[in-house]
Amino acid sequence: MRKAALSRLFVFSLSLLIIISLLLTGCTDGGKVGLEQNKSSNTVLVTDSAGRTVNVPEKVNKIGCLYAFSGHVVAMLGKGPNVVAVVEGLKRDKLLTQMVPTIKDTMTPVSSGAINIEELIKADPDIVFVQTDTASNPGEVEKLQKTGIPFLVVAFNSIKEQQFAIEMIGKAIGAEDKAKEYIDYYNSCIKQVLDKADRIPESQKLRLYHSVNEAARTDTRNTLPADWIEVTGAINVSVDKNLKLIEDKHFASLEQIYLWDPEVIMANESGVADYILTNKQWAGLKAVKDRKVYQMPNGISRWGHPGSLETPLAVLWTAKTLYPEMFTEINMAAETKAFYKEFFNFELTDEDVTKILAGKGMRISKGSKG
Amino acid sequence: MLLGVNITRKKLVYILLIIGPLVCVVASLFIGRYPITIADVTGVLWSKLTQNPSGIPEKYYAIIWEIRMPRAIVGALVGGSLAISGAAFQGLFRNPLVSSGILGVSSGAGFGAALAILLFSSTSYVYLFSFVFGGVAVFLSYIIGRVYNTTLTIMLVLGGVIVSSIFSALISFIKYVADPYNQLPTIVFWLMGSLASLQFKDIFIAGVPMIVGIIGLIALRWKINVLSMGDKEARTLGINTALYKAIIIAFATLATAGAVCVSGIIGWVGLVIPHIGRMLVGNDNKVLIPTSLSLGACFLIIVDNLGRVISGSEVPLGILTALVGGPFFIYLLKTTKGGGW
Repeated sequence: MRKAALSRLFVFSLSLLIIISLLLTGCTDGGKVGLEQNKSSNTVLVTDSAGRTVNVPEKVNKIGCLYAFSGHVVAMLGKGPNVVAVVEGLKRDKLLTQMVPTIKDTMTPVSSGAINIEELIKADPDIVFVQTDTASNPGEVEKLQKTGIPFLVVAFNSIKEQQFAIEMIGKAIGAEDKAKEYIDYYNSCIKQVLDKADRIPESQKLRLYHSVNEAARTDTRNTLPADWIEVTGAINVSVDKNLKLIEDKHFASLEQIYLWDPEVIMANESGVADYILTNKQWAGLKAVKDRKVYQMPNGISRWGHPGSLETPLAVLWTAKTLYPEMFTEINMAAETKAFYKEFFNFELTDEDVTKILAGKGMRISKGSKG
Repeated sequence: MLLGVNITRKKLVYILLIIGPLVCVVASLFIGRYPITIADVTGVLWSKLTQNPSGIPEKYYAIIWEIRMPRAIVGALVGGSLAISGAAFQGLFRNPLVSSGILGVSSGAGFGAALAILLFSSTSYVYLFSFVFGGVAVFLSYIIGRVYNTTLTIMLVLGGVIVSSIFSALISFIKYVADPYNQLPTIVFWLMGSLASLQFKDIFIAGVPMIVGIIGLIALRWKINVLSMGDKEARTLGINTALYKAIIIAFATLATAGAVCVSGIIGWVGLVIPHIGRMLVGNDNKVLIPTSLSLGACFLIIVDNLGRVISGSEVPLGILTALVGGPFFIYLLKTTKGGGW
């Protein structure tokens, strides 16, 4: 009898122990430390894309770009040589490494989205730009906080947010004026196109399918491409449709694309337009039959990509390609040359311009496509 | 009297087995997001048969002939390959709980495919590598299973679990070290593979290992029967057990590797289908092997169509097969009590 009671007590106290330990663990979660230390006394307050307010040293010498887009912006703002750590993708970009050769020798303290913290400390940046994936991963955030290096989240899903991100980077690295110049140019391109595109009656707007990297990957609502394509006076067929989500990328099924039967197809990855034009599965589409399948230009990034800095150029190019008789004043070759001269201080040869506009050879292509 | 009934029933089963996959393939031509009337689908098929253009929009040809047809055919081949190799493994190892998935062949083949892409940055050696590593996986599972001879049935499953998880870890490792811009998308594409973007040319490439594997297993189905009686009995019948085991494993692995390369790792088909076949036609591998082939083909086409219909954004095949297969495996464990038949 006594023995049974004793063992019951034993079991009871063990269960209690488990419950208490679980509750305690739950509590500690609340008291997270969210402070960034600052190295120097002179700091600037910067609000990043995630709405966090971060103390950034007033003089930033070494920059870590753990999101490709931030590397493009930093290079544009004339601080390319100050970059000390990047993501692998930045090193593969032919045009960027031509403009800023030192990028090739920087460290890559991140692999498959995970930061190698000791490598990052070795690179010793004054400030780090990260993408949403990193910032929304508590493990990665904790790593960054341990280093005491202030980090800023760069993220955008619309033109406005992209401009905010560029402004924010400019403020953080002390290049606000140049950032403002770029944003002014950005807005002037939008205005130039919108002035005419707004007058196109809804019934005459061309229906566009935008292929992102893979033939069947496309845009959904609340992405930068959905926003900028709207400016060009096109109807983006995949926006607001039920798409297949694979690892934060949206895919359409071929039968859906047949249902939309777009009048024009634009593909941003080198080779995809040819693939669509020659693949029998796509052969029945109106755009393919009319040969209105275009390879989008590719400079520092694929123009018009969800994370592309060349969005204003994509807007001009797309408007001109869709409605050539309406946008006769746009000269893409001249515009392209001027853009990289103005913002990257880089003189393109005519051959470079042709290559960029043809969207081929600026980026090492991906393996074979299904 | 009884014999007469049996023969007609047997014939009926055979007829159904041949017609079933054909019906499924044809039926799936009518199913999809794009609304095409039954009349138009038959119109397209008829004009294809008669080589006679019938004024039906070209769009319909592309959708039915280039999109739905290859998908259905490869679906049938993949389902058939997985099921037939599962039946062969079950017969060979005299173990109702094994299949390509359980023995680690699928993970091994997946690893081989990923490794080939990593090493050569192209997809030319994918089939060779996935075949070789699929074979390595069975071999390892078998070796591990032999550690304790007393409970071979469960040990073989356990060996397979160990081998699969090692190969899955290796796949993750390869994804980790692969160049995220060049190789990773290709690897993910191969491993995740869905039937959605299949073309006729895929049938010719991936179809070869699957068809060779299937034909080999069908040709050897008598031998599987003999081997399934046990090594001693087989040897007394004058069969070189080691040689035939190796050949049968090779064909089953070939079929699995072909399936994995075209559609990614689809679990459970190889385990469940042969058992359903057994419920229908019994334990005789002579009949069971072709039955599994036919049932597997039908099953995967049906599941694929379900995935297309259930939601607008196609449900991946693996999810549906696992939802059916997992509970079925528990049922099998219970009825077989972890032992042999």
